[in-house]
Amino acid sequence: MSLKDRPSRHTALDADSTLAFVDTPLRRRMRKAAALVGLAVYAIYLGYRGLYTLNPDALAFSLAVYVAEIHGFFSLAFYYFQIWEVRRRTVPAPPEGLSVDVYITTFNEDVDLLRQTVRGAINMRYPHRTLVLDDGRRPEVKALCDALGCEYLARETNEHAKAGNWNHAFARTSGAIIATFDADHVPRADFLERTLGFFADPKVALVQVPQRYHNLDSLQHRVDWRNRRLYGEQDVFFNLVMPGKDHWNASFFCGTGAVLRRSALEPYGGLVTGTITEDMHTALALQAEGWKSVYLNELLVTGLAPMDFASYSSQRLRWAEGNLKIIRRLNPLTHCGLTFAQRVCYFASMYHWTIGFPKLVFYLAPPLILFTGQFPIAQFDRTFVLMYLAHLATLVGSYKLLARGTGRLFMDELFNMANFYTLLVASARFLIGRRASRFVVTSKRGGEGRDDRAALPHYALAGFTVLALVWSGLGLGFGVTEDVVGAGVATFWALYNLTLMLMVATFARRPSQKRQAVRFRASVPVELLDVPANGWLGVTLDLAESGCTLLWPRRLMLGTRLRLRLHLGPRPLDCDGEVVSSHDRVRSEWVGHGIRFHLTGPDAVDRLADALYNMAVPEILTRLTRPSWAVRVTRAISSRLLGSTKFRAPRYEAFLPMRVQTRDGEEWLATTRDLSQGGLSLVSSRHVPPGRLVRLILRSPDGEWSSLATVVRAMPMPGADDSLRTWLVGMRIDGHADVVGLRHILSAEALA
Amino acid sequence: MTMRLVTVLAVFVAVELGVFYWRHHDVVRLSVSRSTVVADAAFPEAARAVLARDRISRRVLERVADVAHERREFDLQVRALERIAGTYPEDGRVRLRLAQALRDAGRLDEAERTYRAELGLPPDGGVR
Repeated sequence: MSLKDRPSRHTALDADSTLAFVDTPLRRRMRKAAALVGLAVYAIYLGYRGLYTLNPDALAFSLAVYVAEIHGFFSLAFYYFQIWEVRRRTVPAPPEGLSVDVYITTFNEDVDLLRQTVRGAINMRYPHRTLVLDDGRRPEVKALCDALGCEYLARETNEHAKAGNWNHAFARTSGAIIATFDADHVPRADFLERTLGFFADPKVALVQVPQRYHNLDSLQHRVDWRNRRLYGEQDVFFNLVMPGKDHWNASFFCGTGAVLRRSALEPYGGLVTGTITEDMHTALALQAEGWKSVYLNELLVTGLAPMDFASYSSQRLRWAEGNLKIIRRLNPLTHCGLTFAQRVCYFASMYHWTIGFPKLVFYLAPPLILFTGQFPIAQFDRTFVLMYLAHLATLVGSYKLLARGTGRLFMDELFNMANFYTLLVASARFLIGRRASRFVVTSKRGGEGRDDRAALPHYALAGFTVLALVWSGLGLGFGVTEDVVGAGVATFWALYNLTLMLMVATFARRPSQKRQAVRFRASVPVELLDVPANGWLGVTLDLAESGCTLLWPRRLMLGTRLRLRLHLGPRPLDCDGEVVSSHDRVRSEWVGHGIRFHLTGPDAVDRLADALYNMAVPEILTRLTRPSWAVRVTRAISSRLLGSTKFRAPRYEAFLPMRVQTRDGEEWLATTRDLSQGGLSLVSSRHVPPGRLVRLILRSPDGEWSSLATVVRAMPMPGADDSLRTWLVGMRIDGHADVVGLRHILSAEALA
Repeated sequence: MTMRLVTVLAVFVAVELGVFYWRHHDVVRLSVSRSTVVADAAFPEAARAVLARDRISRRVLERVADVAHERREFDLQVRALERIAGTYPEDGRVRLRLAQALRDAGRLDEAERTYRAELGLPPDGGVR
């Protein structure tokens, strides 16, 4: 029974009322104007190209490039349509008494990996039932479920892969609401509390949250620690496109980190099967029936992104092939029940996967020009150049303005290069109509060694480009041709593409996962329990379930067994470790040591994992959100013009351990985060109210520094688990203290 | 893997060099030192092949013209200069050289017409 056939009921909440605009009205109008100008200039450029610049001497080549440009126009138009209005949600309180099932689907993932996901799911605060759906039928997974106290479900076959696994559980459970996670996606304790409130609107069928990843050394991330900037290939999708789709009630189910209403899925017996991207297929079917979807752009779950190029390409191939093939079963342009905007949004999501062909044309064009001397553009004159530059300027300008600091053109182009062959294969399979598509589980750990076969098309393309450059160089050198300008333009274009190809090659050639566990940048105070207590403290530079990098004021001998106390927020963890490596810090006396943990039993691992997922991950992802320099400069100028400039003293990042003492004898450890001329901020495991006077003590190889400081602010650090709550405490250092000395001790730049 | 890729690329570049020579051996022959080209018995053949091309650089045509002049093969010189003059009609120096080459080739009427055109003299009067 579709939603439209149901009798109308009293609506306790209209989910649409939770939508809010991200931008001010002025900025919204500005962005819309930019989008329209960008598209209008692009259309004029295409008109000019079609009328005056098609080359009859190389018509096929010329038309191929022109069609690729037209494809780009529609791609941009669909993109701008989807992000026409970017919305956020206000979160309603969750209704009490909902029966909630939590499904964790698994097939062949490591039990250690699954363990943290299951624990995260069990630890969600809202009452629920957790089920592990194991298509691998592994006894060790069943043992894990028994040990952790959740239910285990397996089936005899693997029919319909993940969707079949899901539906098998769907038929055997009865929860009115179902939350679903992949085996590597660890939910936060407040996941259900933040998402269930939307189901007070009886028309809401699903709530999706963004997929964020905690392995920032994955293939699809680039981290600039110094500038606190993170690029994630999927950021544009989850930070712009999905909030934009949400405006049109067209956000869709992404397979994990979602909550679904059972009654909406009952007509299908669960998820819609028949494609390898059951998530989007299901969402499309539900929205055609009139159900609503909600996208909540909050960090509520983190997972693992593919570590190597082969896994990455295999995942993208599945997404592309699956999404394209949905058109055959449920064409959003013709299927009844969808609004115009939903049709455009869903079609845009499918169209996105067809960029393989135009990209191939753009990658092949420069070598073809260099080889043949034929240009796809007949009139390469001043008018064309001006027209092209106007198009390029408005395209880049509107893209950057609408990206709201998220998109990075060069990186987007880099990943287009990485994906072009995969997308070509997907398009070919769609056009040829390969009958059976295979659901390939994305490897969460990466391959065993270097496997760059997935990059062979890029190597071939790079080789072809190099040969073209050589050919063109020979031709110019021997005087076969004298078109220096044409060859120069094509060479520049070819070298740009070649740079992208070589960068993709480095992706593919980088060693896959070096360590068994993901390492997180986490600065945690460390004490060595069996080293004579001189007040020395260390701090971790990074931390994993298997070990850490410890910054210690003195050199520790290799092979030394240590008894460590890791101050993981309010819950210190004592464990054994061994020094396996050491390296000097360049500009200070601190010595970095690689420590391998010898954790005794799963409880210790769990406590460490809790700290990592509840403290380290939220802090890292919050810290890496600094706007680009362009945005910062724009903001500085506008605030100066508006007269709202607040001058702040420069801050230097520094991560060092400190003792904090109060007058009544309390003492605990904290880690500094930054230092300014008159104060510092540190992460403390205890809440200290503003106005309180404390003594700070730091011992470093350079000496001891101590000062009185007054707390000026205390803010909770991001994280959902109150038992692991830490506080970012801002302190004003007493006027008589030697701040310059402290700065010297911190060696801020060296340690940042 | 890297070595294998570099080796494959090197092989392809070597093949490409071979193909380039095969396609453009006439141009390559004209690119060696001038004295070698002047002494090359196969020069007329290479020059005719170059002149038969749809596209060729001015540099190569100039080389053909200069060598042909030195070898006193004025017909080839005239053909080369005609190509250059056709491509660069604004270059008067080339047309004067063409007129000179026509005179050297014994094609006096054509030489006179070319001189007259270049010097702006009427076709039926003036210098005889």
